[in-house]
Amino acid sequence: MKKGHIRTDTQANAGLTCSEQRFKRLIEQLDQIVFTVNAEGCFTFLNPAWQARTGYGVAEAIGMPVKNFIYPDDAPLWEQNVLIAENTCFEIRFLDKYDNLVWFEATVKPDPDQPQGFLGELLDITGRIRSAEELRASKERFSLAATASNDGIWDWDIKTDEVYFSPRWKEMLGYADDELENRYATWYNLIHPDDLTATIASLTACLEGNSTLYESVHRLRNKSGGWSWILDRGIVMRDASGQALRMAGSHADITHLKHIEEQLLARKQELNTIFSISPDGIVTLTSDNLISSVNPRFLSMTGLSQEQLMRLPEQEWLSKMTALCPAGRSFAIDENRPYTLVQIQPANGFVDGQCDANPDSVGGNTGVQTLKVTVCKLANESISKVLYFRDVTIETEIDRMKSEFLSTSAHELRTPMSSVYGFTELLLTRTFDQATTQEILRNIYQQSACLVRMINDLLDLAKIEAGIGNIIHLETQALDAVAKQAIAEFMVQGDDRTVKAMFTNEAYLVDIDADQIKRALTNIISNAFKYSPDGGEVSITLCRRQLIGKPDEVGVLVKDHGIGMTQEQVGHLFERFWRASNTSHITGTGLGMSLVKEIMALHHGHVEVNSTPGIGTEIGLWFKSSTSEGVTYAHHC
Amino acid sequence: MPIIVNEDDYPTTLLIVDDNPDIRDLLRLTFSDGNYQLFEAENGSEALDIILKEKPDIILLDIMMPGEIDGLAVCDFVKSSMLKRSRIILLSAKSQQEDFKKGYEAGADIYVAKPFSPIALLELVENLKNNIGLADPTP
Repeated sequence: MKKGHIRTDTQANAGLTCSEQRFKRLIEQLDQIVFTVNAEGCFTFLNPAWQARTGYGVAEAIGMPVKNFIYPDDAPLWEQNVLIAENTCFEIRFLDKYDNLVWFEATVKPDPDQPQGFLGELLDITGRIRSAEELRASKERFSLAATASNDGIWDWDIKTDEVYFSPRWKEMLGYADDELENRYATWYNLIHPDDLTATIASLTACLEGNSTLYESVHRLRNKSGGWSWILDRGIVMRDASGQALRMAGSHADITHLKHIEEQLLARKQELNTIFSISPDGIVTLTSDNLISSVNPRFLSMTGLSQEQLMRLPEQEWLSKMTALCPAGRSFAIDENRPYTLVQIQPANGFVDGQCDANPDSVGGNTGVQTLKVTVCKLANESISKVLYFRDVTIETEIDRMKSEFLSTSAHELRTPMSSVYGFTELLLTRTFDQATTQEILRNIYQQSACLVRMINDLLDLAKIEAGIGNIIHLETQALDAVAKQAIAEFMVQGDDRTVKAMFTNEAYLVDIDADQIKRALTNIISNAFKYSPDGGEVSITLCRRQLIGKPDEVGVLVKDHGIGMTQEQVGHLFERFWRASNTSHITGTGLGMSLVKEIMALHHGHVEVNSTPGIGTEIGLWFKSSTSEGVTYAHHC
Repeated sequence: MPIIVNEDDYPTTLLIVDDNPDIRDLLRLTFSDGNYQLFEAENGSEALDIILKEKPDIILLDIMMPGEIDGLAVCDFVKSSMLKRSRIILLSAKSQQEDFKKGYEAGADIYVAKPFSPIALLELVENLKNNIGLADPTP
């Protein structure tokens, strides 16, 4: 660029001028600043890019020290690099005319034509630096946010397969920073097998699709071998062609939340189950008095369907319930009382099998059910009222029977008591001859004895009813031995009557409570004699039978030749306190056969009665044959 | 109220109706002081026979008895018939409020629940005979 050369040779000059012109235009077109600096450190040449980058005119800067334009903090940097006096490249900040920072990448080398001078270029990299800074700042912000929320950070360079897992990311799984490799496979291998397919599918969908956001909930194996529930969220960064380059995101440990969720779900299922299998009918009402739920038991009680009831206003529902009530009754619930008893009579009777399982002896076949309704009101809840319906048909009937039994008992005690009380009073207030006094005393004695028997029988019955007597001790016994014992115990009373025992050699094994069966047999033998006023043989036989469709049975039969009973009388035989009208001269409580029946019921056996008036009575106690024989037999094989 | 004609020359006729022989014994003994002519019946139909035949002044009547005619039916018959009106004392083991009500509705003069005091009953019958105030025979 020595002007001297150009001026010395015209020919060459013309060629050079031409070349210089082209060179000059080229320099002027350049985007980066091209400069020369002299030994004093002042600009000697600048292309127009200077003005474009710094705002200062070229003329303004020529002859001015370079340092005047450098950001003061970076001035030493310039000095250092220039002093090296060889090719050097560095980043340096200038201040433009408006005091804005301009980042340059400076390439400087000694000027061969100018001792201690330099030439070089300045490439504006402000844009690049800014975006890098912004990225860094945003990373910092993200990292800060993640740290604050205790999330772990990951950053995946898809091309290199390298993943940055933040220390917190690893700590979340119980690992120290150096315990997990920063590779994609690290994460992949920790994923729960059950979650793997879904997780990878959503990641792939995100990478291959247009979506930027990725989100997945999956389990990762932690260091202790357990599973941590992770909420994994990330974003994809793509190049201009849409190819995914990087993905970054965060891990939140939601194990605790997941457990709570699981517990809630389990609890909900539990409550649902309780609701649906509850033996009580349940109806819930919303705060605007609409039915919000009914359970299966309520439906089976009433024969109504879920479709009929859901979202039904309370008043319409009450009308429906009234329609179920026996004629003339209405379905009225007093919510101020602890509970209300109502009766309903569903048209289709007992809908489900639940009622069929109830003892059919109770409640009759009227289909009228007594329901105990309890109302619970709830304040400020989505459900404002819960109604519980308990089927107390059986309890009500048992209550009725119990109070009837009680009043009958009291009534039956009054008759012997009348004799005792009345005769005693007469004895105390009057004087009778010796014979009459004896007669009266005998009567009082007999009636007192009758009272004692009655009270004992009543207590035994009450025990069986209360379930105390239900504790029977079944043992495999030979029925003939038990029958013989019963006869022996009966005869202890010391009379000359005889019972003809017609036993074969067979043992007749049955599962019974010997004491109870002896008691039943004694009652029956006692009756056999009592109702055979003219004597006649009383016999006991044992036998075995098998009725069609029934198991093998063993029976003990007590037969007398007494007064017998009519068919109608047999029908009353097991009623408590019932005594045949033609037997008022024979003492008895009317409870003996009730006891026999209860005892047989406890043994799952039954009583059979064959009786003809004037001919006699045969009472049979039938038991299922013990299976022990079969067991013994199998044992021997 | 009709006045019972009590002629001193004739003993008061008294019918005992009860299916229980012990109660009959007790009542017989109670009224065996010679002031009463006693009749006994074991059931309702026997009682009606005697009532028609003897027209007793006073009837001691049990309610629950075997057979189709119980004490209440006997009571009802006596009170609705054109017979001389006998005074009826129901003697029953039934002692509920509603039993009393049924008895009085059937036309009984007095309802006595068992067990009872024979002495008080005797007094009651004496008073009834003399048509004066009544004593309660229930202990």
